[in-house]
Amino acid sequence: MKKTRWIWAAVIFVMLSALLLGVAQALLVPHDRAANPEAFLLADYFEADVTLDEVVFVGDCEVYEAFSPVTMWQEYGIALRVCGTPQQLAWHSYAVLGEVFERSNPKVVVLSVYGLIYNEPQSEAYNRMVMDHLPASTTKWQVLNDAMTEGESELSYVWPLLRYHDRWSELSWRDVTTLFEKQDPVSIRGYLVQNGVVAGDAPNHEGALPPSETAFGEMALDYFDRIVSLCRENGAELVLIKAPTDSWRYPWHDEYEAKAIALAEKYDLPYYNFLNDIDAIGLDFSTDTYDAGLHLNVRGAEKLSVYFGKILKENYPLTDTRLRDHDCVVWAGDIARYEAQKREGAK
Amino acid sequence: MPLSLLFLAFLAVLLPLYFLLPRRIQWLILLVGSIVFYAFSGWQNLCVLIALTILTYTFGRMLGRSIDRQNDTLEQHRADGSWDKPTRKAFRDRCVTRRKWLLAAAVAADLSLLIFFKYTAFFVRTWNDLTGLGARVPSLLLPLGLSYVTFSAISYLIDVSRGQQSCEKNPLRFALFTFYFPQMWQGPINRYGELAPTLFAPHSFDGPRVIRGALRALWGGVKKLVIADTTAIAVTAIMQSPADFGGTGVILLVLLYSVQIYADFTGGMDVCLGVSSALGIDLYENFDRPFGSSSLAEYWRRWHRSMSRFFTDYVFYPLSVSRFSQKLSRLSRHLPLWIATLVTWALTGLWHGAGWNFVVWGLCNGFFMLISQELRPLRRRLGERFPRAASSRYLHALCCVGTFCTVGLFRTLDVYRGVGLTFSLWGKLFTPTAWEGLLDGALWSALDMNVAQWVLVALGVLLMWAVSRRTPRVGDTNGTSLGERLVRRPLLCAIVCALMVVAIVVFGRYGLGYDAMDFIYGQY
Amino acid sequence: MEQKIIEILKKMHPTVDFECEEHLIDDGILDSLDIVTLVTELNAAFNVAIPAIEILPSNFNSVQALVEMLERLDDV
Repeated sequence: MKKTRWIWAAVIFVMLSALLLGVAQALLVPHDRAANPEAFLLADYFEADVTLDEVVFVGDCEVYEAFSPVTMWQEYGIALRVCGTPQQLAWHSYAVLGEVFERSNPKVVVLSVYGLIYNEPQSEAYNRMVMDHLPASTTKWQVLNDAMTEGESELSYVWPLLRYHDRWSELSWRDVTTLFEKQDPVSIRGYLVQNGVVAGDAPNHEGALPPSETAFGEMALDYFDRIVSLCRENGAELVLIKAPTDSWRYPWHDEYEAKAIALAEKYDLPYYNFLNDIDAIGLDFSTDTYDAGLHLNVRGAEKLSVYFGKILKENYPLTDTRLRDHDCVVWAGDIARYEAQKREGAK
Repeated sequence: MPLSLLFLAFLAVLLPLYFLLPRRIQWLILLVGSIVFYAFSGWQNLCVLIALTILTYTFGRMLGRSIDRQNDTLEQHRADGSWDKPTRKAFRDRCVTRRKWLLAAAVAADLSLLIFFKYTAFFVRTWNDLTGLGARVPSLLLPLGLSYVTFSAISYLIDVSRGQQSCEKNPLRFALFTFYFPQMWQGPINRYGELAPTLFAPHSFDGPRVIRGALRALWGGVKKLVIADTTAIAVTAIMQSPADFGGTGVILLVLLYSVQIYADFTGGMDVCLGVSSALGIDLYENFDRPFGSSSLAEYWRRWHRSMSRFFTDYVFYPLSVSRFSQKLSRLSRHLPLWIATLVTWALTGLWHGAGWNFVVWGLCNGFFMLISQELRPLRRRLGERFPRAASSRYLHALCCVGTFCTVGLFRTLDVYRGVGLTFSLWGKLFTPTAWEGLLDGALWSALDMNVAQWVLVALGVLLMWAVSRRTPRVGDTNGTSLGERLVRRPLLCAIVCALMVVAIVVFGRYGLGYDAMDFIYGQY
Repeated sequence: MEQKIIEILKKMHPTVDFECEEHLIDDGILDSLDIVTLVTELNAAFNVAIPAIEILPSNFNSVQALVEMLERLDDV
C-alpha cells in the first residue's frame, strides 16, 4: 500500500518535471524567427525540400549576403541554395556539408574562404546558430568539441534549456504566440534580403588590425581537408570564392590572399576572388551595400549573382531547371517571396 | 561545488554503494568517496588536507597518551596512598602545563597551514602599508573549506587535551572526520564527540529519511541558485560603484545583502545537511531561524552557530577566566568581559576574511553587545517602570527589526571592503538624500535587475519566511519539520520536488555568462 | 555557599527564581556574557579559579550544579 503510493509519487515526479521542463524549454529556447533572422538561416534549410539542389553555398556572411539564388535561377536556371550562417568557420561548414550530402546530391559546392582565417572558436552565439539546428550525429559531437568556446558545455547542446533558461525574465507575449504559429522562412533559399543603402568607399581595409598570425591555421586547414574529401566522396566539385568586400572590420589582407591561392593550388581547386572583378561585375559601392561596404545589399548581390552564375553555368554540367515544370512551381513560391521582400524594403 | 552536475553524478554513484555494501564498511566508503571528491577540486587541496589530518591525528595521539599516563599514575598513587593530596595536585598541574604546551604546538601547526594560505597576502599588504615597501603580494588559493576543517581539527585537539574527548586511535577513522565531504564547503565546524558516533554507526536505508534529505537539499538549491544569486545582481551593482549609490546603497544593502547572504549560506547548509542526513548522518544545525532574534547576542547564538560556539568555548571563555583577566577583575569586574569579548570578536572578524574591514566588523559586533550588556540595569529599571510596554509583542518585534538592521548595517563592511569608505557611507544615512534615493527610478534601474527578477526575489523572500516559520527551533523536539510533514504525503512530496527542480533549472543562475557563483561563506 | 551563589545570581537577574530553576543555560537565562560575570564573581567570592574546561551547561544549569562543581574543583 505504502510502497505503491511511493512508486506513484516517483512516476508523478518524473512526469511533472518532464512536462514543466518541456514547456519551459519550448518557451525559452529562442523561436521568434523575425526577431533574429540570422539565427534561423539553417532552420530554413532543414525545413525545405532540398533534394533537387545542384549548387550549395557554405560559409559566412560572404555567402548569405552576397549571392541571390532567385537571380541565378532566373538568369541561368541554376538550382541553388545557400547554407551560410554568421561567421561560419571551417568546422561548422564541414558539419553543415555532412548534412547537405545526406539530403541531396549537389554537383557543385561553393565555399567562402573567409572563414579559414579563424583557427579557434570565436563566438558562442555564432556556434549556436549552426550547432543548434544540426540533427544529432557523431559528426556533430565531434565537431562540437572543436567548435565550443570556453565555458560552453556539450550538455547544453543536448538540453538547450540549460543555455537559454535565463531568458525567463525577458519573456514576451510574442514568445508565446509564435509557439503556436507556422513561421515563414527568414531567407530566400538561405539568402537574407537586405534592401538598405548606406554608401561606402570602394573596398579597402585601411585602419584594420594587422593580419592574424593564426589565419589558415592547423585546425582550419584540417577541416578544409575534410571538406575537400567529403566533396570528392560525394562527387561534388568544390569551388572557393572571396566576396567582393574588404573593410577595416573584415579585412582581406594580401597575406590571406596568398594563402588562399596557395591552398587552391595545393588541392587543385578553382578560386575566384571577386575583389579582382569589381568593375566587370559592375559593383558601385555608393549604391550596392547596406552597411557602408561591409556587406552587399540586394542590388549588389544580384549583380554578383549574374556574374558568378555565368561562370558556374559555363564550367559545370548544371541542369537548366527552368525547363522542368515541377521546379518552376517550387521556384515560383520563392520568387514571389523574394519580390515581396524587395518591394517591402523599397517602401 | 555542491550544486554541480559532477556532484549529482558523485551522489548517484555513492548512495547505492553506501546502502548496498556491507554496513561494516560504510564509513570506509564515505572516506574513499570523500577523498575522491576532494581530489576533483585539485591535488594541492588534497595534499593540504592530508597534511592537516596527519598533524592533528599525531598530536591527538600524543595528547591522549599524556592524559592516560597522568590518570594511570594518579590512580596508582591514590590506590597505594604513596602520594598525599598536595603532591597529587602538583603532579596534575605539571601534567596540565606540559599538555598546554603540547596543545599550543599542535594548534600552531594546524593554524600555520590556514594562516599560510589565507593570511599571507594580508600580512604582506599590511607590511607594505606600514613600511612603504613594495613586496610582492602572493596570490594563494585557499584550499576548499580549509577554514572549517582546521577549526574542527582544533576543536578536537582542545577537547582531547581537556580530557573531554578520548583520542581516536584509528587514523582512517580520524581521516573521515576531516574529509567527510558534505562539510567541505562551508562547515559546519564539527566536534569530534558529536559527529563520531553517528559518522561511524551503521546506517541502513531509510526511504523517508532519504527523501527528507533530498527535499532539504533541493530547497537549499533553490535558496542558493535562485534567490541568493538573483539578489546578488543588485548587490554586485552596488558593490562595484558604492559612490554612485551613496547612503541609499547602504539602506538597500541592509535589505538585499541580508537576503543574499541568508539564502546563500543557509541554502548551502541545507544542501550539505540534506545530503548528509540522507546518508543517515545528522550534522550540527548551523542556523536556528536567526532573523527572529531580538538582540545581537541572541542573533549570534542562532546564526552560524557552530562558529559562534567554537569562539565562545575555545576563545571567549578561556580568555575571560584566564588568570590574567581574573587579575584585571580586581580593577573592575567588567574588564575580563570586555577584553574577552573584544579579542574574541576581532578574531572572529579575522576568521571571516583577511582584511581590516573584517576586524572592524568583528569589533563593531563586540562593542555593540558589550554596550547592550552594560545597559541592562537601565533596561531593567525601565521595564519595572513600564511593565506593560516591556512585555509587549510590538516591542519584541521592534527589537527583532532593530537587530536585523544592526546586523545588516555591520555586514555592509563585508560588501564595501574599505573601512573608511563604509564609515563615510554610514554617515550619509543621516542625510535626507539617502532616503530620497529610494524613490529615484534611475537608481533602481542601475541595480541591473528587471521587474521579473524583483518579483522572483520578493516571492523567494516570502517563501523563505513561510518555510522558516514552519521550521521548529533547534532543540524543539515536539515540532515536526516541513520535511517530516511532507514525507507523510507522497503525492504532495512529488509535486514539491518537481517544482523545486524546475525552479532551479529555469530560474537558477548558472551556465554561460555566470562564473558559477561560489558560496559567500565558502571563502571564509 | 548556596546562599552566596544565589545572592550573586540575583544581582544579575533579580526576577529569576534561582532556587528552583534547573535549566539556566538550556533555557537561555544565562548567556555567555552572564557566565563570565558569574565566573568572575565566584572566583572572587570563593577564592577558586574556575577553568574554561569547566564551563559546560551541566555545571551551570542550576545552583546545585554550581555547588557541586566548586566542591569538585577543590578535590583531586
